[in-house]
Amino acid sequence: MAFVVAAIGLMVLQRSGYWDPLEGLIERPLVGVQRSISQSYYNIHDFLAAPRSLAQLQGQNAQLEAEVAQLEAQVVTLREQTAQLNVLSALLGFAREQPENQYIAASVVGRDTNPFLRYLILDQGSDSGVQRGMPVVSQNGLVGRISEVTGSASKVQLIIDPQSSVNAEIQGASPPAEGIVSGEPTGELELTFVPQDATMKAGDLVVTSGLGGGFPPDILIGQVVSVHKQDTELYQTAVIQPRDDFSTLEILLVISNFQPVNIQPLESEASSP
Amino acid sequence: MIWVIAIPLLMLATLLQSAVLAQIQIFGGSLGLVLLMVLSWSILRPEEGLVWAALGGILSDLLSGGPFGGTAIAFVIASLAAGQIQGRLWGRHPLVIMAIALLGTVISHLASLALLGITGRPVDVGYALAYVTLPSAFFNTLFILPVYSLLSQLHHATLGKPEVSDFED
Repeated sequence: MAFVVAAIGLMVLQRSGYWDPLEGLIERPLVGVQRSISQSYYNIHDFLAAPRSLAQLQGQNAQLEAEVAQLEAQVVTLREQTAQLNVLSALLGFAREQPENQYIAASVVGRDTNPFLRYLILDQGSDSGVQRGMPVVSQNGLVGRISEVTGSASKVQLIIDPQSSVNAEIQGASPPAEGIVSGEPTGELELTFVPQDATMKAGDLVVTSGLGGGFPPDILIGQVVSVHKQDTELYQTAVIQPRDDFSTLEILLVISNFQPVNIQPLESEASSP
Repeated sequence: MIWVIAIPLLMLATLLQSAVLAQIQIFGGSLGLVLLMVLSWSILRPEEGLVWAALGGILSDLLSGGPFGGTAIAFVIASLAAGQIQGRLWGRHPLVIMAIALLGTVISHLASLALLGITGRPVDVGYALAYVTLPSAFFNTLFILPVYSLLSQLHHATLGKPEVSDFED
């Protein structure tokens, strides 16, 4: 009976609004305890749930790493394609500047296995129309000539090979001066047999002369770096710097409408008594 | 059995040599993978070393502008020298193997230069030895042990344990 009276009393107090301050006094510590209990619960929950989240994170991490690797591979591929496009664009520009020539584009697929020789292996051969003796150029000028051909590949003797020699002329020299550019065992290019009276200085451009029929005329070979002239000698010589770094060539053009002239029979006739 | 192992391995090595290793030049020298394989097999099975040398040399000559057979002759000479060195020194001690790589590189390069000279190509022996052979010999000496180790494991897996145990004193 007393509980009923107390309950009714509390209801009256609540209705009349006198209960609220009292309720606040009682609830304040309860909420504090409740908060700490709740926090503990969440902590425990997080702790128990953590392994699952960790596994998810690890999975997501692996997935993201895979995506990053894939994107990085794409970036590398795109960079490679951009570089190739730049080379092709430059080659196209070179080909447009010399419309009298026809070209076969070829990729460099290998280099000479003998460290003392300087040859390249191209992925185009006689099946594509490549023939022995055809000149090979890059966007920067002369690279070499085809020395051997198979159906699907060919070898290029670089102009820096010690056995290579190219008839050349110095652009702008007065009087007009010609010489022979040959490869050195050291990998350098040397211009020899230049007459003493020719004016030649560092920076002059050296191009093919077309003499001898081995190469078409006016293809850039390189630039004079230094001149060696001695009054006691018949000729002056010069060191030539090619525009290309022959170790990084990737795509080249074979000039397919140029047939080298074989002058060996004439040479043997001239040398015979 | 020798052909089954030698041909694909040497072909792969030759292609790697031409397409990749010939491009990687440090101080003018480059790793001679085919030569290292020839020398390693010459140590493991001296009687078959010459076959590997001839085969590796011919495959290399296919991808070279030099006189055909030149590299084969150079490799055979190097293989013979490797057999002689190994027979006279302490079996397959790592130092002996490294010495074989060093001398094998020098001998094969000298033979190659001699053949180039004989066939009328301009050769500067001093420059070649200083700026090509010396760094190449260094790299080959450095890398012969892993190449030898791989071929030794291959030998063990296919032909059984070598007659003299590896790295024996």
